[in-house]
Amino acid sequence: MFIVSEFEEVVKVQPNHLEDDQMSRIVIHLNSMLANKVVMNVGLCLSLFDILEIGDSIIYPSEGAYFSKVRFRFIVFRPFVEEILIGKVKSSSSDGAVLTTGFFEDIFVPAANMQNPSRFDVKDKVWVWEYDNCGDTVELHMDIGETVRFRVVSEQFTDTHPGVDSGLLDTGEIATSKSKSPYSIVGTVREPGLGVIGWWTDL
Amino acid sequence: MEVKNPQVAVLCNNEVFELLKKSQENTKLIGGMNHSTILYEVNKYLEQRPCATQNATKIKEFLIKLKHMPINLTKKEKLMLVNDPPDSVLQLSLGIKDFYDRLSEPETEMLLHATKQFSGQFEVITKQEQMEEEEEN
Repeated sequence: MFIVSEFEEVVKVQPNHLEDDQMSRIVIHLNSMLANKVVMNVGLCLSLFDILEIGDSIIYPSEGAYFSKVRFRFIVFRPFVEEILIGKVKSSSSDGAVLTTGFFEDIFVPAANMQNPSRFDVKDKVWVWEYDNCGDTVELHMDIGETVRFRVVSEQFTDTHPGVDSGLLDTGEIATSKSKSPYSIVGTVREPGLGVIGWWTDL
Repeated sequence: MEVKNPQVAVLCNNEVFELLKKSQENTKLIGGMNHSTILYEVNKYLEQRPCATQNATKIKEFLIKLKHMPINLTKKEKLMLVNDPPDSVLQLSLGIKDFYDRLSEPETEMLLHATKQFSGQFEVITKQEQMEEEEEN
């Protein structure tokens, strides 16, 4: 579920940090720039892995800061399609359930990917798997906060850069006020062995 | 910023766990970093996974053992076996594609035995047996 990606960035070091160690300034800059951010088609960046190369530092006219080109590698959260992951149920609705790993909360299991046959309990707001145990129907609940094993089906990157969505809408188009997440994962629990962990350990 | 290579390598959970621990210590040393939240959250997640009790030599031993088996597994399948060692045939079948066609019954048994040993469940059982034997003696 974690990968290492290579980037290149021109790091600017302000004059008031000229006395400091260049390496630690660069580490601080890169970590605060990328940690907990999604890079398009790469994934959710977590922490600096290593620095490969620091280029010559350049000072531009009328500028006190120096700039250096840095080639570095970052630890990135990017599960591959088909991977089995573990998460917790964050919320449920009639559309499906939202799962979270604690640091990544855009995992969605649509209603069609629930165990078969499943129904959404409107009163308790949970998904219920109507497991057929030799003629008897056993109701297995997927409560909020329950640990769930799921398979990654697909991933999607959306450009949430300001200005992309702000263009005028065509007439008749309905504005979706939902804030989109830049990186989201669609999961499934519709396979034996998947779903709430307790469903399978007791067997 | 420029992306040079979106995927240089794949890390297993244990490697990330160790790396992030170091990074957390570094944050305390250098200070001024606002990425401690994500470090804390990932750490909290990984703490509850099997990777918290694994170590590099154990993983290496396990992978060598897999290599010597007559079963051909892909890198991704091995990664999943390391990250989430299965304790039943059902779980084993989830991570391996066309499981029932590719593996015969004795092979399944062998693989499951290896993963159980790797995740430490087996040690508990053998220890218990030893204790019982000692008691009997």
